[in-house]
Amino acid sequence: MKEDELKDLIKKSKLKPAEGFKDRVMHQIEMEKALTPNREKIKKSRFPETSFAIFGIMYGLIFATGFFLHLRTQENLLDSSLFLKLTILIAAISGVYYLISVFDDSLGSGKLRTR
Amino acid sequence: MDEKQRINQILSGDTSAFGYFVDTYQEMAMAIAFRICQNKEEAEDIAQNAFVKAFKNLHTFKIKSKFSTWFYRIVYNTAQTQMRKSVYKTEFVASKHEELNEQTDDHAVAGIPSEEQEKLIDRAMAKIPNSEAVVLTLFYLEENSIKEVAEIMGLTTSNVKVKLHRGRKNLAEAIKKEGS
Repeated sequence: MKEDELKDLIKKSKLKPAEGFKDRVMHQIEMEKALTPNREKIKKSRFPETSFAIFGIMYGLIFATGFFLHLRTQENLLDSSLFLKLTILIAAISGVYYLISVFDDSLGSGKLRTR
Repeated sequence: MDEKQRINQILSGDTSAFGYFVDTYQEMAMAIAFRICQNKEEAEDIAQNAFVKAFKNLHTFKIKSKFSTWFYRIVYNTAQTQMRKSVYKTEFVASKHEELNEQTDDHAVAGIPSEEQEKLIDRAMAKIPNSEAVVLTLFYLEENSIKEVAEIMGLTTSNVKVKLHRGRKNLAEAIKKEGS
């Protein structure tokens, strides 16, 4: 049997699915999509970028405070109680902000659930 | 809109855009599935499951590849898996074929109405090994290259060439017997 003849014969054997096949497929897809739990749609954590920003700003503020105080008082910053108090204040505020970020990230990624 | 744009559309959340792929590939999916399971209802089932799997795994499709090759591989694997699970497996018992008579009757199907020819082909395809039937279907129906057929079926190109050669021989023999 010639190849062309065989090819023509095989081409005649294409099968048509029953009526409504496409509707059934799309319906099944929509159903499965609707039943997919939201748990699977986990947000990508932006925690590394946030941490870098918080600590970067903290050290930036401490450096700026120290530089400003040194210019004004011309004394050793480590002996200055004002500088130490300001440093502790900046670190405390940054620490609280860091904790809030950790909590928010945990909520967003689904690791921590609240009712 | 080409297929790659439609795929991006689907991945962006437009599920209805997948309907295009169902329309385009449903007949071929049925053909591949039917060659393996030899039952129309089961072939529809397999094709439906394959489309759903393709949708779920669309995010893994490499946009530079050919969608049809990727999708037919899913259909083929789904059919194989379903057949392995199926209770009513029909095993192909390899019949001993006589040496091909080179002077096969080239007019085995001449004069037979078109509708009858389709049934004849289906009956003849059912008599040859499933893998050869699938190779012939992929090669002639969709005009996939040997390399694409090998990729779809997880075979080497040499294997595909051998199956194609044997498939042609066996199918011609089966057609001759069915036609007589």
